[in-house]
Amino acid sequence: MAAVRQTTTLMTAEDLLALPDDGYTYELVEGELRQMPPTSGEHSRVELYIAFWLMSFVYRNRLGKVYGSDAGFRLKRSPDTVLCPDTSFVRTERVPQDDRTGIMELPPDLAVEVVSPSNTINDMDDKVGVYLAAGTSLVWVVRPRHRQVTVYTSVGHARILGDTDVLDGGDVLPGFTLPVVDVFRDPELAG
Amino acid sequence: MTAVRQTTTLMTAEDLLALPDDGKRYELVEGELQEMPPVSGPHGRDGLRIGSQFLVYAETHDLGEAYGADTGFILSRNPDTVRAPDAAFVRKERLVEIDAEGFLPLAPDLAVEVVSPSNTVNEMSRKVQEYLDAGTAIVWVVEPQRRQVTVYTPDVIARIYRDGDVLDGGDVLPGFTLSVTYIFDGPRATR
Repeated sequence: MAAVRQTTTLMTAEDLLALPDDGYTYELVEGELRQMPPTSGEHSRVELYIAFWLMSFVYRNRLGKVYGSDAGFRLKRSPDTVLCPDTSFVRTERVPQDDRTGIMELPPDLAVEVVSPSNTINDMDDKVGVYLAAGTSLVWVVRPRHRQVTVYTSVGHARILGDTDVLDGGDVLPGFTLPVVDVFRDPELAG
Repeated sequence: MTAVRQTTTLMTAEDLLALPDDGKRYELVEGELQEMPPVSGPHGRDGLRIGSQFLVYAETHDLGEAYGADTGFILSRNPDTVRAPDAAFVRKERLVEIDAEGFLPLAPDLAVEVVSPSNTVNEMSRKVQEYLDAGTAIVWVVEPQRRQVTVYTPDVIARIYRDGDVLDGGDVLPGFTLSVTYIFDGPRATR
C-alpha cells in the first residue's frame, strides 16, 4: 500500500481548477481527488432551505455572502485540501475582492454539510476537523434522516439539536435563528 | 414497500438467542437481523483495552459488571432491538433482578462503540440515539483513524477527546479515568 501511495501524484488546487469540466464537482483531500456524486432530492432541498434562510438574513442585514454547494475553499496547502461545503457564509470583511475566478483562499465563516446515506463517520469528522483547523468558526452537520443538526464551534465541543431546538448564528451571524424543523421543510410551511 | 414490510416476520430477542451458533455475530434492529462482520485488529484491540479497564475498575471498587464485545443488550421491545456494543458497563444496582441466562434486558449505563471505516454517519447516529433513548447515560464513540473519542450524554452535548485528553466515568463510574492515547497506543503511550 505504501508503495502505491508514494507513486500517486498529489494534485493542487491549481490542478483541480485546470481540470476539464465534466459536469461533476470535485473536492481535494490532502491532494487526492474526490468526485462528489449527485445528491438525493432531499439532500438538495435541505441545503437550499438553509441557504434560503441564510440569504434572507444575510442580505437584509448586509453581512456578507452566501455560497452554494459548488464553491471551493482551499483550507490547507501542501498537500492541498479544497472542500465544497453544501452551503457556506463568508463575512463581508473577509469576502475576497475578486471571487469571479479560482478557488477561494480562505475558510468560510460558516460551513454547512448535509449528510448523505453513503457518508462515513471518518469522512465527515475529517471534514469538520479540516474546517475548524482552518479557522471556520461554525460548522453545521445536518442529518436529514434523523432530523438533527450537530453544531461544532470548536475542536472539542459539539451540540446536537433536534426537532424542538433552534439553530443560531452564534458570533458568526448574531441574531440569526432557524428552528430545526424549518431546516427540513418547505419555507412556505415555516411558522 | 409497505406490503413487503408487512409480510417480513420480525424477530424477537428470544428468536435471536435461539439461533444456532454459526460463528457469526448478529444484532437485531427493530426486529431485523443484522450480521456484524468480524472487526479489524486495531478495532478489536482498542475495544478490549477499554473493556478491560472497565473490568478492573468495576471489580476493584465493586461498582458493577463490565461486558465485552459479544454481549447482547435489549434496548427496546416490539419490535426488538438488541445491540452488542464493543464494551459496556452496568452498575450493580441495576443487575440485582436480572436473569443470569440470555441477553441483558436493559441498556448499559456506559456503552462503547468503536468506529469501522465502513460505518456511516447515519448508522452511528442511530446507534447512539438508541442507547440514549433506552437510558444509557454515557456513550463513547471511538474513532481509531482519527484518534478521537466523542462522548455523548442525554444533555445533547457531545464532547470530543483527543490525544492528551483524559476520559472519565462521570456519575456512572465515579473516579474512573482513561487516557485517549492509551486507548490507541497501549502501554507505549506512557513509555
